[in-house]
Amino acid sequence: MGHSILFECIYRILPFRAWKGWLLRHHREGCPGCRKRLVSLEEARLLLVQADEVGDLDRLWPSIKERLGEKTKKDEKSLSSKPAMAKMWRLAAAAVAVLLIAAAVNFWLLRKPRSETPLQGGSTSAETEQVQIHYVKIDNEPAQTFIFQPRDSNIVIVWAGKNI
Amino acid sequence: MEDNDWITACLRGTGEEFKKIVDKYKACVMAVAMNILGNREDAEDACQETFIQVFRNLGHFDARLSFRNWLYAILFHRCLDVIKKKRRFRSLTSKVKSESSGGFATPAYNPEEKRQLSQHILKQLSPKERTALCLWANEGFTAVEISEVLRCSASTARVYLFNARSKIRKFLEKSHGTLDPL
Repeated sequence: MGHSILFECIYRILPFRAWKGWLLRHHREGCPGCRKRLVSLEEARLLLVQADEVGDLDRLWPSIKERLGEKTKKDEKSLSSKPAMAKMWRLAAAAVAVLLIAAAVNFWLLRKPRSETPLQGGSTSAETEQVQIHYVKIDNEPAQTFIFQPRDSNIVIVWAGKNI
Repeated sequence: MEDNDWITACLRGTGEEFKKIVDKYKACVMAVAMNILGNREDAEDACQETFIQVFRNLGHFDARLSFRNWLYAILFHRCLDVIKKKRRFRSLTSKVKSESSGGFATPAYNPEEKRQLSQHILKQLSPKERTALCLWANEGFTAVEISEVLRCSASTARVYLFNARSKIRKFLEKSHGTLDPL
């Protein structure tokens, strides 16, 4: 009796289940004194519901069968709806891709002409029509003539130099 | 016919083959579920869920292992699910019952009183301890087999079983009760 109490104290002190399991395996399960402090197999059986005490279980199989049938139908439904869903997603992805491409092309086309706009547009040609130099002479001699127009400006500079 | 033969037949055939497996194990599974859960309604639900899960996972079952241990492992986890769902409710009812359970000191019980006493004693144990005790006493499982069901080491299973047996002995000594066969 004394050693059973001692072993119970040791058992309680041990921190890990593995150590407790080792102690049980190597002492308590084989020790008659310690086994008296445990409920026996017969006593445990009296406490527990036995297989022959569970009563009528005829309803069990029909309900399992019914639920298995329900689950199979659900699975079939989900399987049949999968291709339609996949097709819809593919169409949506294609539509989004087309819209993105259209937006990108539009952006590129609108942007491009600006950079290629000539500095001398229609208005400039009109202005040049106003500047008409037929002939430049210096000391009754034909002169070398240069016409400048700075960029982004309406000023026209006419430079005439004597031919040497 | 061996379990594995039935499983093979079940995988090849229709669900009707599965009925044989259900018929073979339903009483034992129901008894274990009732011992773990403490009431018939929950036990029936857990049994149904267990067999459905077994049927749907038969293809994944490793034939080298014990079908019985695999079945009880699934049952144990379904029972734990039920316990988790009803934890709050159960803690409330167990409190009420423990408050009203002062009369178990006399050793003479009628069947109904004895059933209530059994339920009261089993409620002192954790679900793992109840499962270990039930598998040991009802099914003759060893610590290694219990460990396969509880998914723990054999040492841990031994501890669960020892704790269960020890707690019941102490409870009986404390209440001066005995559990003589009727």
